[in-house]
Amino acid sequence: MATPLGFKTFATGEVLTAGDTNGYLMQGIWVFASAAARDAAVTSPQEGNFAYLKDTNVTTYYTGSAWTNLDTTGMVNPMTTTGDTIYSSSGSTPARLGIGSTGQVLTVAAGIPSWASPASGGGMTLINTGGTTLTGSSITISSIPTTYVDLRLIIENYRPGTDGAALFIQYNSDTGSSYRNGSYTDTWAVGSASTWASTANQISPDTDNGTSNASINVYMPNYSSASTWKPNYCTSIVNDNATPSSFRGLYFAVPFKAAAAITSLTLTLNTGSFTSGTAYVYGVK
Amino acid sequence: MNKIQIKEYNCETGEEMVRDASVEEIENIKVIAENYEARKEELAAKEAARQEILNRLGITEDEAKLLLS
Repeated sequence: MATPLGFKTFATGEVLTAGDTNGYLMQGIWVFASAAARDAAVTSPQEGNFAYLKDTNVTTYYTGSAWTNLDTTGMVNPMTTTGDTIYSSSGSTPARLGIGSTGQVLTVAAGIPSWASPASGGGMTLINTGGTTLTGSSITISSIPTTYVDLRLIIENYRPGTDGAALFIQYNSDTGSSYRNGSYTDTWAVGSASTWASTANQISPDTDNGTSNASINVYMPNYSSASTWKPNYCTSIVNDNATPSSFRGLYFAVPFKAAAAITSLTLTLNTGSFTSGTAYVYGVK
Repeated sequence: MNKIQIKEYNCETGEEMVRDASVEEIENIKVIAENYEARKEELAAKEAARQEILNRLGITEDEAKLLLS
């Protein structure tokens, strides 16, 4: 078999030589009745030879060592939508994986790829959707799930109706002597034996009723424990009720004596009603 | 006199309601207020006693701190 010469367009009157015949014309696809007929006719096949077999309607080519069927089946495109991808299902069967949703990541489930929301690896989740506006004299946020590691309460721009009012927190509707204030009004020595002398934890100092840049934060670590007391702590800053441009702050532990999960928070003023403010309860992973 | 109002928010259902305080809740607020006032009065009494001692000794607070340092 001659060495293939590639493709050529012959001009009118041009002489067709034996070399042209062998190098150009003989490089096409031969047609045989069967593989047996092919093998009988082509006793010394060369790499790159092609032969069509009529009995099976298959095109074959010679690899240099054997005849191989040319795969003309191709792949039926299973994609239908922008963002679709293709994966191999049941061996080599192509399958469509529809585009996922915003924020989803590609993962593997039951041995095939799929889109899924990423597992949360931390961060905070707002539990009371949208926050709870402070109104009335007392707010209770209940049915707090116990599926987080810690709990965090953030109160923004809290403002009492009565000048100099202070804010207190209680848990699980417990109004007994299950608390101890870390306030400047209730001193207890760190590391010394202390009693549960309070019926609520103070989480704001005396607060101005005209202006509010207040930020009150209560952190409740391991709040879902059913066997430990709760070493909660508070960091707060409010507008001073006498000089609103000055601040009053609190930074101390506000422990709660309960060997049960915290599932509700109650915020109560010592006097009057709330004028404004929003409480956000976050679950912390 | 205005009624004392209580607001409740249920994290599970998202339901929010405002209602009048129960007798127990009013009592709870009263106890919180009384305890807070008592502590403030106790603190004020301690401060007054401390100032009285300073006056009797005729020294300032800074001088007292110096003596105790």
